Amino acid sequence: MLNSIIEVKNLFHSYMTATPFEKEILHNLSFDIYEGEKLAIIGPTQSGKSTLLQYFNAIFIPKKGRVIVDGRDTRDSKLNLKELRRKVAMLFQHPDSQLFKDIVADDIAFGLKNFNFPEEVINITIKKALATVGLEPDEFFYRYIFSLSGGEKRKVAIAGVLALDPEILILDDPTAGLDPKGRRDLINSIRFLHNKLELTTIFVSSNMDDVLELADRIVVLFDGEIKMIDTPKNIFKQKEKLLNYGLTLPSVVEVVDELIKSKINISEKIIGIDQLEESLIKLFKK
Amino acid sequence: MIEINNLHFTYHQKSENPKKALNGISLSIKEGEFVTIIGQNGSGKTTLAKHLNVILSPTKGTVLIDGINTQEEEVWEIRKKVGMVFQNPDNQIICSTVRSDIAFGPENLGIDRVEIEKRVNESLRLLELNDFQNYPPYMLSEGLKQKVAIASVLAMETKYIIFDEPTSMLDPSGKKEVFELIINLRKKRDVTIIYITHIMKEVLKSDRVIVMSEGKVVLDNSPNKIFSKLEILRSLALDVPIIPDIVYRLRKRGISIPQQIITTQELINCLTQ
Amino acid sequence: MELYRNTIFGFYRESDSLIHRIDPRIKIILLFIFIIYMSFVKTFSEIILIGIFLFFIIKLSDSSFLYILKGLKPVLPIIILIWIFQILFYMGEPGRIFFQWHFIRISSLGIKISCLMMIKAISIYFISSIFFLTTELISFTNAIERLILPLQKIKFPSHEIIMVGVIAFRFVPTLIEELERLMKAQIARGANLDRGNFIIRTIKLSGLLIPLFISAYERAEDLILAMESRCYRGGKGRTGRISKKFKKLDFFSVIYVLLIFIFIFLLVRYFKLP
Repeated sequence: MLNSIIEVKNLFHSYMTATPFEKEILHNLSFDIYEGEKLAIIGPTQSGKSTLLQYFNAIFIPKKGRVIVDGRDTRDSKLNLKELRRKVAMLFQHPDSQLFKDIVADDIAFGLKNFNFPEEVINITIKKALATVGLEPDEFFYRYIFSLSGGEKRKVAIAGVLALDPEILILDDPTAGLDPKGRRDLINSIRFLHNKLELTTIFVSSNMDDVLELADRIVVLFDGEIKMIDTPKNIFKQKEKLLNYGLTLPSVVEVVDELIKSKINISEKIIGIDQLEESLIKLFKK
Repeated sequence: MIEINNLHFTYHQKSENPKKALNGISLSIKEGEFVTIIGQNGSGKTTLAKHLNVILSPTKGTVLIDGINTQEEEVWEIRKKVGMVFQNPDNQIICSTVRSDIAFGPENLGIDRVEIEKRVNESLRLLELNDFQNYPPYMLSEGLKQKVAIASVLAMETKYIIFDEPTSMLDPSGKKEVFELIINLRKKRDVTIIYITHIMKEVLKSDRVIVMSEGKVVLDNSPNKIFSKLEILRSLALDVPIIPDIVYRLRKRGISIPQQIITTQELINCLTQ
Repeated sequence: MELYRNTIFGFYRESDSLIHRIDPRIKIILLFIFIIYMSFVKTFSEIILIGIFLFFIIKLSDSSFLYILKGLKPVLPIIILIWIFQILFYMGEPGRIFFQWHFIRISSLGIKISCLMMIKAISIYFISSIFFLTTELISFTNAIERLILPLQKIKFPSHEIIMVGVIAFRFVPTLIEELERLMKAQIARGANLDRGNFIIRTIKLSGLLIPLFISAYERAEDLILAMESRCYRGGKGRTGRISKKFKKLDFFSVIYVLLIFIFIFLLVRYFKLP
């Protein structure tokens, strides 16, 4: 049986409440996130994805509705928010803005010091975290942050939250703006982290190829409402619907779609490049 | 025409650790071309682009824009010919409304007010920004902001426009919309486009691809020819678009299919023959 | 934790009200007249009459009284503190004295003058809020430009100062957004920015200034490149902005406002209202 680690119940979100500019961003959301899964949240810009993520580590506390993280209601006034935020590691968009210090080690130490980790374990923890994200600890420990590439900065940001030994990892569009090599590296390390540390991973992405590669389950958000919630296979089958929601398709699905439209006899269920290769070989051999 | 001869450039030349960015580049770009430049981060693409509108000056070698040496003429004269759109839309919108930002460039050229209004209206129309002309930039989506940045350069009516990864910070629908507008510009305006990108889908639409690595030009050819050299691209850690990838896989499995296929349509044609 | 959306977003409010349509230059001048007049106000009856005037202006500008009032909330403790200090340390003619201890005293005139001062400050806050709710930043900066450009003749760098102002205004929302992002990122890593009293929070927030400054500096560098590649070289050779002609509405609004103030002024003096 699947264990729910986060439960969202009838969640609403508006900003600028009680002013003439009030706007509803999330409308009556209810869904569960299971322990150990990789969940993708997709939707067009302004659909409320980033806002939703910020409920999971109690940066937003529901005014209407409830969010239960690891069995604790975030509205509970007795809840230790700091402890909750240690369990739920959150990486915002534009990771450069999450690095506050000039040297890699100091930056990773920022969270550790906030959580009063003993002085003697801090250096070891930093090195372990760097190694986990695939950065050579001795090489990167004293590096200046500004001398890092975009992909490396992101990895340092991830190391900064991993050092706190979280249970849930939340990523807001992690690969946006990276070059192909940086993107490939980052996807591999996210997958590695999930497998090795058994982190529940929740991420927002606008790149459907990332979603296809990483997600076990997908939530489609549109106009502040959940329109679909299912496995990638079942979601990416519904091409018309996705396009109507202002989303794009993974590149393989796009190609398959075009082939079908040109009356090529190919299964619409194909979502991976290896499947496409096999089907095309059959077609050419005919 | 843009002519680059044996261009070398080193950052922090007089400091203790100079960084070589360009290492002997020679190429020419004809009027009306749509050239894309690809290469890994740090391969020198942006450094090269910055030489074309004199943000940087060569350490060695020359850059000629329509026969004018960029080191001899006043920079403003060159910049009237070469416009540049940058990566981050947030950092290139100067004024507090869309309309005033588009007018900023032409105002600097000191041209007549009536002419400025004409150009602003024309740019707003070409980029479909009419509804947003009085918006402050922070209220626009990233895609719209980038359209404003493009409109602002367009209003200067430069002969060449350099785009430095203009879509890399946008979401997929923004990417698609902005890129389509850029390729359509050529139909509406007599303009030469030099386009730096990481997105291979965009590269497929260009006339000519220049692949850079470590400050040098490694490949310079049509997209069809470039993408049939998958091994080289992969060795440079560059992405390969899906169709060339699939064609490569099929050929390896013994299917006889032409190597230069790069679009889905070409694949369909091959399948239906 | 929604700094950005709760502040700047609500500044200007799109509408086609009468007040929106008045030329911003005129609005700036009227704002000054209002502030100057307020400094001469000495009686409560004047305050009440001006209150009625303000009420009509709010109605005419299609803005919400409650919304403007809400904006006062963050500074309310400071206003009250100043008010109390003014009463306690009032040094002028005391009137009737209720309480005295060394140099601290509570007197009838002290209370009256402190109350007047506070109401005056709030009225000025109200009229400025209406100004910004009905005037777009760009028309505001344009208006300022039109008003101070003549100073260029006496070698005053009007153009450069306006340019600095325009860019600063333009980047306020961007920097606030950035600050919000930094704060959230620190909170997510265990910083207690949303807890503790005002002073502790201020000290903690000051730690964000360095990363914020660095990012502002990087932005500025990009922005200089963007401006230069669009041929900016100071005011040299630039085409000036259009001079907007005044409308009938503008003349009448000045006349009405002046008439109202003169009327209030004479009424109060003539009938010797309290």
